[in-house]
Amino acid sequence: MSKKMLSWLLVGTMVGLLTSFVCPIAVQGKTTLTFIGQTGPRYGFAVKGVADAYMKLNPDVDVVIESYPWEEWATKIALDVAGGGGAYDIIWIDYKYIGGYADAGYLLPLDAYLLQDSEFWQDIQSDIYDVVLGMYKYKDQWWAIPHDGNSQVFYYRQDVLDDAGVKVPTSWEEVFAVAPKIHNPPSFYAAGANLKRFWAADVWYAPFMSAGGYFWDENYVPAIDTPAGVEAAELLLKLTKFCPPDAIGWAEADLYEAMGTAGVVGMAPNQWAGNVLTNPEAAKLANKIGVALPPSFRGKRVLPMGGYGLGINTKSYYKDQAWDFIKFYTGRENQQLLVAHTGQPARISALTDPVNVAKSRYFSVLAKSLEYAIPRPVIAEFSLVENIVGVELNKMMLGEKTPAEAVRDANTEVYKVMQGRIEQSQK
Amino acid sequence: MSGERSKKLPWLMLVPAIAVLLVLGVFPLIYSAWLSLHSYSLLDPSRGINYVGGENFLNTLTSGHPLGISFPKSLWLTLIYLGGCLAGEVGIGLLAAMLFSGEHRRGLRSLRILMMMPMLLAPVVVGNIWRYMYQYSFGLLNFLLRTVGLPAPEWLARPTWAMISLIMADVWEWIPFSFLVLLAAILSIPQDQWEAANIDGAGAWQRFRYIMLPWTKHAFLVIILIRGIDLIRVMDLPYVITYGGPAVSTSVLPFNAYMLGFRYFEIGHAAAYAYLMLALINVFVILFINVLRRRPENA
Repeated sequence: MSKKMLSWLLVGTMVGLLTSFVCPIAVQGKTTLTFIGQTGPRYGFAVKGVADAYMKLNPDVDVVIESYPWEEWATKIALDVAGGGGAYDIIWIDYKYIGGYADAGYLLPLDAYLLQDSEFWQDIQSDIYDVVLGMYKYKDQWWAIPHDGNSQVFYYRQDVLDDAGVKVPTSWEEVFAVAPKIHNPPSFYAAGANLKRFWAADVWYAPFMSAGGYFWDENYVPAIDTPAGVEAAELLLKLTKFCPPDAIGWAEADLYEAMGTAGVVGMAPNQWAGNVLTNPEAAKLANKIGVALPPSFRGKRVLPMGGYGLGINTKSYYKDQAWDFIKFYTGRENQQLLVAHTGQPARISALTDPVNVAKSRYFSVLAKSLEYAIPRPVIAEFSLVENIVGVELNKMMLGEKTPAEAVRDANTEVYKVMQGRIEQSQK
Repeated sequence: MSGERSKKLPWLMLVPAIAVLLVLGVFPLIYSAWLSLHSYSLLDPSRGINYVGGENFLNTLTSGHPLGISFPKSLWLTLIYLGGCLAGEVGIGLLAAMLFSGEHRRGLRSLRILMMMPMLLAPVVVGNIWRYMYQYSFGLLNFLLRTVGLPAPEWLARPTWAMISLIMADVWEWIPFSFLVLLAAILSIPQDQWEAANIDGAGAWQRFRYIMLPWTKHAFLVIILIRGIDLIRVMDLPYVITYGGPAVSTSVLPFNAYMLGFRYFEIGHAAAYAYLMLALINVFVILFINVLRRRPENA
């Protein structure tokens, strides 16, 4: 082979490689849809299960799933936004990012598709709580379809409460009345909670909002250091007296281990719902775990809303195919499939479907929780806000600050974060 | 003609390497320097990239916002972490190297491979292993301590213990490195030095002080330099084991830079933070390179 031929061969290979990177159309005439989501039983497993079924029905479509842990997932999307978009077709999105990414032109408004598929849209509207659906509406347009609904529930060890002869507490006052009866440290603790940094804020939200608090007023002036904020912080501090001492370093997974596997915790009063603790394949003590509505506080129950939606990237080459996949994923007929793959649906019919409830018995409680849930603020700054609150609550738990000082300092810091919005709203 | 071509050829051959260096090394440095002078939120890109001058640097140095810990305090935590890790790694590494270079070293040879194991593990794996071992109620360490009747510390729940926990995990992972370097240095000491010391009747301390230390001084400095740079920019263990907590008690500088960049997505602020860290690393490196340049008289 001459040198010239070799050179051409090399150039040809390089051009081929470059083309394969640039051109999104896969070889063999298949459409490749790239899906970015999260790892874990509630997320990655469910997506894979549904995507496999979709590909069986649509052999000309390849759904490539990229699943990452929460932080990497958020980072990947943020970097795609910064890079001008186009890396992913279908975006699994947290509602708090909708505004920022919609304004940046990263997400495609779905209104045209919803108009076109009015039957599907009506079904979605009738089967998902308005408050859940509404999280994906921004500036009068729809940006994602909720496929995963979430709020908080109360997990407890049924056997432990039975042995102590007590009923499941329905209020925080009752939680603290029951706690001393089952508290037996260091081998057994009455309560548990994930209190590591921003996770502490997750536990604080419900009593804070139940006591009538909200993060800011209509002009975004922070209102964290209100009596409701202090009371909720005091409650959290009281709860820590019944938690294992290292709960301040716990994320959700640590609580699951302590409660579902190691059996050192009796009650987790307000915990994000998920199918780990009640799933016998995931938790050794799953059959002993009960689920109830989180306790009320001051006679009222307000819970934070979670969950995710599916949106389409504006730069996607396959917007129609992406929409077709989203319809399939969130379609009424595929919800049992989703649940069979450990997913957590947003549809009320799926959460109350006896087949699904038999598989994931916390669903019916979650469906009730969603009735009490309100969305956390749908603004980009909220990630910072929850971190600030979490860190200040941690300082309180370490004894560095009183509850009043912690919420006061959190309020001061949050004010700095919100300054831009405050000035804007005052104009 | 062919002479000219042969002069150009080496430069042409260097072009790909220089291009890679420019794209992957120089461009990000310049771009991040530019970003550090701007306000840029990846969570709300519609706000755009706005020039703010030195505001990000000023905020970093004068306020702990929004991290909950000031830069000087975080620097202090980083120095504690650095000092603790270096002391542990060098101290235990030296003891192990002395043991493995002694009279019974042939018998211990097979154990050297075992000694290497922690260094071969991914830091995230090391972090997770230790995180589970530190669990208060069901962790291995407290199980062992309780078994022998000792009090079980709240490893990851108290600021001091959390820092000690991080240091212990790091020391465990990196002892093999200092052990290897020091073992090589000790084994390269000429045999006649030891023989002369024996004839002169030198004791163990004198042999250590007057033979081993001078001959291994450079190895110590290399370990401190390489591990020092690593430790100033360590991210994995604090992230996995403590997540900077409890509260902010283990929020070392790189963890904070990560939080600003990839949790809060405040890219401009994170770039300024990282640049200040880079300046500190440079001071550290220049200091140690100067020490390294001074050759010891008797080495």
